[in-house]
Amino acid sequence: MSSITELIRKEIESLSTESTRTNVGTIITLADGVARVDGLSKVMYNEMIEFPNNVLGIALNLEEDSVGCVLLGDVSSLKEGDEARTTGKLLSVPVGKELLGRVVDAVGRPMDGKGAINAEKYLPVERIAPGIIPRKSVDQPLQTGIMAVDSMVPIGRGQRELIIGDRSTGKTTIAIDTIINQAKINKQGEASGDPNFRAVYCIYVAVGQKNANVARTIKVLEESGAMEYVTIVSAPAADNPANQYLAPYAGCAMGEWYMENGMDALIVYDDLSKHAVAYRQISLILKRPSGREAYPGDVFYLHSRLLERSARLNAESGNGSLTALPIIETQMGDVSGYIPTNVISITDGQIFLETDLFNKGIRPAVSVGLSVSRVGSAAQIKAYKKVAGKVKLELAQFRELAAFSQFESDLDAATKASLDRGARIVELFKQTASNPISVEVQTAIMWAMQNNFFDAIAVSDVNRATQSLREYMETQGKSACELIYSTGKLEEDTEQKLRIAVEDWKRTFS
Amino acid sequence: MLSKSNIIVREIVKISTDESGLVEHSRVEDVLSALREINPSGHLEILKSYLVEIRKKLRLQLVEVEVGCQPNESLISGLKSKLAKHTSGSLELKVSQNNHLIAGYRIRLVDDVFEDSIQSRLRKLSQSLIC
Ligand SMILES: Nc1ncnc2c1ncn2[C@@H]1O[C@H](COP(=O)(O)OP(=O)(O)OP(=O)(O)O)[C@@H](O)[C@H]1O
Ligand SMILES: [Mg+2]
Repeated sequence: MSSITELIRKEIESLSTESTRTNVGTIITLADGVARVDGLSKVMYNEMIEFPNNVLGIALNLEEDSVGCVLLGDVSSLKEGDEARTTGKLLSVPVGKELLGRVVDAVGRPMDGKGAINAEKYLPVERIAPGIIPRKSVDQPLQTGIMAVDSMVPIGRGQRELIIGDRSTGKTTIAIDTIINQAKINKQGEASGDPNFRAVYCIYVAVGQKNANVARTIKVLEESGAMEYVTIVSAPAADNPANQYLAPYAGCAMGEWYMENGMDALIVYDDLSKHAVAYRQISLILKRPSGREAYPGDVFYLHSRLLERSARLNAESGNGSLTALPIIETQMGDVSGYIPTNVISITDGQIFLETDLFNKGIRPAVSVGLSVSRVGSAAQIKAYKKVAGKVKLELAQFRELAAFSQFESDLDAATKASLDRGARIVELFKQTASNPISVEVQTAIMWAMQNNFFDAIAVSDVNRATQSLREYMETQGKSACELIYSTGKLEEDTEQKLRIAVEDWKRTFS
Repeated sequence: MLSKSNIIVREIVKISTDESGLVEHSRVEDVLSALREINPSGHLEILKSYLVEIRKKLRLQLVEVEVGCQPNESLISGLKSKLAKHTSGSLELKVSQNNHLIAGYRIRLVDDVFEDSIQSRLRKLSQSLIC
C-alpha cells in the first residue's frame, strides 16, 4: 500500500504545470468498427487515437475533411458526437521473451488468463523492413522435420516460404509440425550445451480462424511441449476486422525483436487470405476505391510490407533472422487467384498442397511439380544434401511416368526401375501429423533409400519399414546419427557406421 | 465528382459568409428562408450538410474557454482584451463553467485543445500507472 502511495506522490511531483496541447475531433459516423472523425487536423497516418471509455483507434484514412479510424475494442460504448483525441504515438505491442508461452490478442494483451505480461520493451507494429545493406543471403537450414519438405523444398532461416492449398489439405499441420520440430531441436541444442547453438523462437498468428481451431492448435502445441518457445497472436473470426488486420503486423514486430537482437525466430501467418478479406472489409467501409475482386488497390502492399520484414541479417547487424511461413487458402486448387498470385510473387517459394493427394492418403500432400524453394540446397546441411539431392527429380519423373505407364503394358527395365523407386519414395514420405523427424534420422532413412535398402521391400510395406528404421536409428543406431548431428557431414567413416546400422536393422525387419 | 446537392451546399455556404469568410447571422437566415421557398429536391439532405458546414465555419471563429470555477466579469473582460490584442477581433469568445475540470482551464480553438486542469492531470496519472 505504502509503495503505491509513494508511486502516486512521485508521479504528482513529476507532473509539470504546463498546459498540454492535444488535437481533438468529434465522431460524425460510426459503423462496423470504423469511426469517421471530424477535426483531428494534425493527426499522423497510423497514429493511435483515443476515444472515451478507453477505446483506441488507428487513423487509416486521412481525407480532406475527415479522418477514418478503425476501432479496437468495445465499440458499443461509443456514440456519434463523442470526442476523439490524438495521442502522438503509433500503435505498439509488447515484445521480448516474456511473451513466450503466452496467447495474446492483436495489441499484445494476454488472452490466456495467465496474468499480466511484464514486457520491458514495446515496438510499433508498423515498421520499415531492413534494407539491402544489413541483409545476407539465406544459408542456414530451418528444419521442418517433415521429410517431403526438408528434402524437396528446403527452408532456410530468413526465408519466406508460402504454404498454399485448398481448405483442409494439411496447411496448418505443416506449420505446426515445423514449430514442434523447432522446440524439439531447441531442447536438444540447449541440453547439448553447445555455445554456438541458436534456438528458434516461434510466433503463430491466427487470423480469422474459428476459436475452436485456435484452441486445438494450442492444445497440440502444449501436448508436444512446444509452448515454451511459442507466442500465439490470435484474432479469431469473431474479432473485429481491425484486429484481424493488425494481428500479423503485431506478430511480426514480436518476431523482429528476436531478429534485431541477434536471435532466430519463425513466424507463421495462418492465414493471409483471411487477412486480405479483413482488410477488404475495412477498405470498403472506409469507402476506398475497390479493384479486382473488390480488394483495394494497395492489397499487394498490404502483404509485401509484411513479408519484407522477414530477413536474414549479416554479422555486423547481429546475425539474427526472421523466417516467415505465410499460409494462403486457394479455391479449387486455383493458384492464379488475385491474392495467391500476389503472395507467390512476394515469397521465396511455395509448398503447394493438393487435395487429390490428400484424399488418396498421401499426407503431407506436397505437390512435387508446383512446390519450389528459391533458396534450394543452400539451406541444407551437407550430409542431407548428399542423400536428398536427387529425390525431387526422381519423384517428378515418377509422376510423369506413372501417368504414361497406365496405357503401356510392357515397360523397359529403366522405366520400371524409375517407377519402383518413385512408388517407394511416395510411401517413404508419408508422415503423420505432429510427428517431426530429426534431420540426422532423415539422413539415415534417405541414405538407406538411395542405397537400395528398400528395394526388396514390397511397396505397401515401405511406410512401415520407414517407421521401423526410424525407431531403430533413434535407439540402437544412435551413434551413427549422433555423428551426423555433430559433424553435419557424411564422410566415409560415418557412412560405414550407417551401413552397419542399416544392415543390422534390415536383418531384424520382416 | 461532386453531386448536385454538394454543389448547392458549397454555393449556399459561400453566400452565407461575408467578404472575409465569416459567417453572418442575417445571411444564414436569408439562405434558410430562400431554401424554404424554393424547396429543392433533396431538401433535407442539403439542410443537413449545410448545418455541418456552417457549424464547422462557426467553430473556426470561436474560442471556447472552460474553467473549473464560476467565471466572473473580470476574468471574462481580461480574456477578451487579451484576445483582442492578439487577433484582429474576428474571433468570438465563449466562457463557460465545466465542473468536470475540478480546477484549471481548457481552451478549445478549432480542433486544438490546450488544457491544464485537475481532470487532465488525473487522466495522465492514471495512464502512467496503467502502462
Ligand atoms: N500428415 C497428416 N497425416 C494425417 N492427417 C493429417 C496430416 N496432415 C493433416 N492431417 C489432418 O487433416 C485435417 C486438416 O488439416 P489442417 O487443419 O492442417 O488443414 P488446413 O489446410 O489447415 O485446413 P483449413 O483450411 O481448415 O485451415 C486435420 O484433421 C489433420 O489432423
Ligand atoms: Mg488451417
